[in-house]
Amino acid sequence: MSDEIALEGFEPADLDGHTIDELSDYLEAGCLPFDPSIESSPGCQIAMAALIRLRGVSLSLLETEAIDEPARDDSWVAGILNRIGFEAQAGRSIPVSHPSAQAFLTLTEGAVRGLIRAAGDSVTGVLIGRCRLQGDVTVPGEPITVLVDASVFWGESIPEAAARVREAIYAELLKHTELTIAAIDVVIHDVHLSRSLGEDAAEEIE
Amino acid sequence: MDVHSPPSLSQADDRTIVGRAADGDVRAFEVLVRRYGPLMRAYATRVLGSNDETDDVVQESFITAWQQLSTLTDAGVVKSWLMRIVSRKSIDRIRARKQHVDIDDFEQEAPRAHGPERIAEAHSREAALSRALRAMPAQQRQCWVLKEIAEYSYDDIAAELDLPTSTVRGLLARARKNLMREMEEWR
Amino acid sequence: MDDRTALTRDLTDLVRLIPGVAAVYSSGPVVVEAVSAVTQVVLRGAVAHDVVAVAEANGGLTVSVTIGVSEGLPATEVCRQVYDAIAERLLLGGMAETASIAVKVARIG
Repeated sequence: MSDEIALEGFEPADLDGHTIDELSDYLEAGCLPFDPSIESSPGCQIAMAALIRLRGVSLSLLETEAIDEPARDDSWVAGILNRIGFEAQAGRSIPVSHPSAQAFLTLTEGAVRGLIRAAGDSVTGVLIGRCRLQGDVTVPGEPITVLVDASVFWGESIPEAAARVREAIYAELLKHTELTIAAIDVVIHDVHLSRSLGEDAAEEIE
Repeated sequence: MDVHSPPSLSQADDRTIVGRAADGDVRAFEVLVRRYGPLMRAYATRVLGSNDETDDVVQESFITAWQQLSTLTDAGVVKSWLMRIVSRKSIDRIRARKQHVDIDDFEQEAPRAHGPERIAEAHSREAALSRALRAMPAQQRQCWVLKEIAEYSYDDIAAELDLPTSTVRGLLARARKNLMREMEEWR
Repeated sequence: MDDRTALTRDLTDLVRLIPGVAAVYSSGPVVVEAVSAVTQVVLRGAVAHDVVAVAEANGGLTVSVTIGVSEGLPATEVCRQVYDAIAERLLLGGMAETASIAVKVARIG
């Protein structure tokens, strides 16, 4: 490893006085500002093409290696899942009423979000994403708006699915909590259910 | 995808999976682990130079991710967010090693034996790059991986590796030359 | 085994038997009871030892428990029944003044 390795075809003499490192920086800057002495030099163009190829192979290397990775057995995944706790996602404490002054009864916000997810998922063709309880859930009687992100599978009617999601969530919240539900907003964000994120076909219903 | 099969978590998009996991859905988090675990393992192996500590590093990364998922506001960047976490954990390992071993290049190990599948792809450019990276001095390789794969800036690399930015530039220039020379042979 | 350990065990057994209670979680960091999405591997062994926390403050006894409830019965009802059962047991056991009993539902269904 030495600075002195000569790279045939990529030395300043071949690059009209430029260095490979300058060209790398130029590429990184998006070839801006435009440099006529680089752009008009065939040597520089060849070298930049080589740099771009190298970068491309570097990027695809990991993806290829990830595919080649020996499949991890379930104990590896279990090793991770065994070490995570509920606390980070427990959220706020939602009071449950009781006549006794010694009683401090609560549902965690995390438990209620889990309930909402399960209710929404029970609707055919729907997968619930993130959900939010808007309003001060720690105060009894406070009006709460439920915001739910959902994916609807192709072939299902979006407004119908959203209506059924709302009904299912409302029924469960009524059964298990004492929350005062002001509204349930369902945002359908992706009807493809594909792994690519790309286009966000958001459609707000309510 | 079969239109008639019910939607399944393992096929859901990142936004759905990340949203659920941030809300405490362990099954969604498991999907995230299976989806990005292999890439993170490949990455950690590259940065660390061997796969002895890869399992630990990636497991630690996912535990950190679980704790911090609710702070991730844009689910669309979850992949690069996870790569940042595994970068940082890998670099922590390198730092810890440095305190024990006072030499620049800790992995002088002989090249690992290649399985038949590796030999089969030996002609591909990626395999050549992989070999070249493995043969490179550790710091050069770390700089290259952080720069070209994790897309860190010079300053970020300098901060992460506790090196002056000028040194990082020098290491990257040498790495570039080494790899360009390898590339000559691919043509 | 001191009195408090005995009481903890007694209350844990009591709570676990209340209809609608699916799990009693450790008062320390709760380890997730994970069911694998892809393989359906059930990691029940990962659940921390069940425990109802009992402590003595100057106002009297404080009891706290974190539970998971099943979908069948309303979570609020199960939560109240857990409170009532603990309060009754403490009363019958002739316990000193009870300062507070906290029941937290961390999982529904």
